[in-house]
Amino acid sequence: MPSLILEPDRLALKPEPIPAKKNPWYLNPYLHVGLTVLLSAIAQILFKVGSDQTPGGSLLGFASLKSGVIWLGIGCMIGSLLVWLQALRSLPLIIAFNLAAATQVVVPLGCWLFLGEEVSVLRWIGVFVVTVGVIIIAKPLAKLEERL
Amino acid sequence: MTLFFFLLLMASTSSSVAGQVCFKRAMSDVMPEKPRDRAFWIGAGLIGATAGFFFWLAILPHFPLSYIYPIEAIDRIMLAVAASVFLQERLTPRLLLGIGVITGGTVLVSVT
Repeated sequence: MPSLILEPDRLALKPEPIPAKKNPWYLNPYLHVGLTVLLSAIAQILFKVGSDQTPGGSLLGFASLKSGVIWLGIGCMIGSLLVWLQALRSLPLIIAFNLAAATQVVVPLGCWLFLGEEVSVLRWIGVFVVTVGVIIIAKPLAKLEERL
Repeated sequence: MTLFFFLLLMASTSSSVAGQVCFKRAMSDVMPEKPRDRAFWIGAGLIGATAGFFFWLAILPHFPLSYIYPIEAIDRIMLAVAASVFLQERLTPRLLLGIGVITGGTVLVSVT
């Protein structure tokens, strides 16, 4: 029930302009792609840690399921799948999938930072080239967004 | 990389690409599905993604992650082909350039 008492401050305000038909920020498909990238990179690193803890695994890697870390990774994977499905609502699959290539930048970075894996100079160059590719695809989209 | 692991990698890649196409089919606003059809496509996508995941889990312990992960670049090309064939998505020159550069970068990461 709205209050019947008039608030002088509010009355002084100009009437609100009719908002342009724009989706709220949390429905932005690019945010969804970004979250997918982050969550799946975390999942990959957790899978590596977990599968290292359970060596001599079976053919399909079922032995790894004994590891709690693997299950944490599965949780991140499910989260990333849910945001990914949201992203697919409005983005073409090819575009969303190639923007998600940013995972290939985040994963080696995470391996280097958290797993202590060595990343050679040439490999860093590869990571840089992937970044350039993602920017090539993302740039015209960003311009299109601005115009909308 | 032996032939066995290469085949495992192929199995993982093609399962996940098929899964992605099903997911897009389910979520597409352009081709709205009846709720039952949507559930079917999400289910099919989950089967593809899960199969791909278990093949992937079998490969992982045998290689350092930063080496093996980018080899998945093959699925980028497979997916572009699958999306244009099955979903009629348009491949613009800029998109192809981007895919080419990403794949190049990915291969560079894998061979080093």
